[in-house]
Amino acid sequence: MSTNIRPPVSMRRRPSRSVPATITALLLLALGVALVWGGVVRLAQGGWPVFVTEPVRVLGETGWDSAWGWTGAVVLLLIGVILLLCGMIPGDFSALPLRAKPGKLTGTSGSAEAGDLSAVRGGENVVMSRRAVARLAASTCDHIDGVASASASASSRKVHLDVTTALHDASDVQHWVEDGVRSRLAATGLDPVPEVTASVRVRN
Amino acid sequence: MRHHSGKANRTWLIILGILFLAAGALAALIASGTLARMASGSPGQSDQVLIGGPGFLAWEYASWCMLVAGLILGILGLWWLLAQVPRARAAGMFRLQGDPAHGATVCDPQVLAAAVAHETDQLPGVVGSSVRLRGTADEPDLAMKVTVNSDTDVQGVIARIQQEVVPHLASSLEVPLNTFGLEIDASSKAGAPGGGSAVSSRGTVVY
Repeated sequence: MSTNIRPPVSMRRRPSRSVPATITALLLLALGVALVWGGVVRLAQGGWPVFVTEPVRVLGETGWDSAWGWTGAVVLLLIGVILLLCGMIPGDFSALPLRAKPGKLTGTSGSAEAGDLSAVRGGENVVMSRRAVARLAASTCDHIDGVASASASASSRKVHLDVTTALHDASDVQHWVEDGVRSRLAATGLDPVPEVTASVRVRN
Repeated sequence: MRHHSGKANRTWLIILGILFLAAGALAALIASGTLARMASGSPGQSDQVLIGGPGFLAWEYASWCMLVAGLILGILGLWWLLAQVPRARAAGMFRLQGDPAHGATVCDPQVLAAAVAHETDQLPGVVGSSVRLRGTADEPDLAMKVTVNSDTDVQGVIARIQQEVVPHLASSLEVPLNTFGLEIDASSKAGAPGGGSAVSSRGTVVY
């Protein structure tokens, strides 16, 4: 058996930037199809289609220092900056890490000391999705006295709650909510426990 | 639990971003006349953007050049588009016995994954689960996504998975798992009995 242990299954990902990638890939594909179409039309019919001759004519009449020339330069710069930022900004993690104790291998036949063996040789990676953290936080609020309704949003470092209460003194509810949710998230095993903030709205 | 093309996307977006940025900067330098002052022979600011366009179109091999360029761009675009589909990267058939002289025992990892999912779904508070096995029979990787009721004791569920479900799989394969990944999701749906605040509609609640 090989002793090389591959890295743990990656459960915490950063955004894969599939939206800008898909848009750019579609534009590349469309450009490719247009060029092939233009080439085939020229070979088959002997003349260029309008979507090839017209841009060439317009670019042949446009000067670099004209308004269109400057606009083109600015558009190219803007597209470049947007693509560069899409590729370089790491983005938020999709899930938060949870602490967990490693499991033990039990009941293997012919192995007296099986109970002492770890069930996983390499890394164990336990996470909770941001959506799950938000649902857990909102669900915890439903059990707190004075909370009429609650919704939550979670990032990898922060959980924010929007709470509605029928009580006149909202400050007490805010403390109860923040403390209650913080202890629930700590009991859930989130490590580190995200910062919990709450906005309380008094319902008339 | 699926593989996404994040690294390839970011690499290509950065490459294209640099190319567009360089083209935009070059166009701005030409339009302002800076390039003509810096390097003689470069286009002046009053020159046309495409000087030899009609001449290129009249060239004998222009259609072939356009065809080849279109094919390259189209294939690149199509490859990048297909790369966006998340890959399962599931394991092939597990070969549990290596010596063909003594026969071969094979096991479909989907069967093992279904057994793991079934055992997980019975745990108190669990709403549902999906399981994927990767690697080989000697070095299996287990990835799980488990949805629990939002009122469930999450640490309790994780402990049961780690102390019962995972060791059972390791025991049946007779090797420890290479890696184990678990993603917990939450739902307002009621989980398996015994895990949360859900009360059977036929039960009696005594306060």
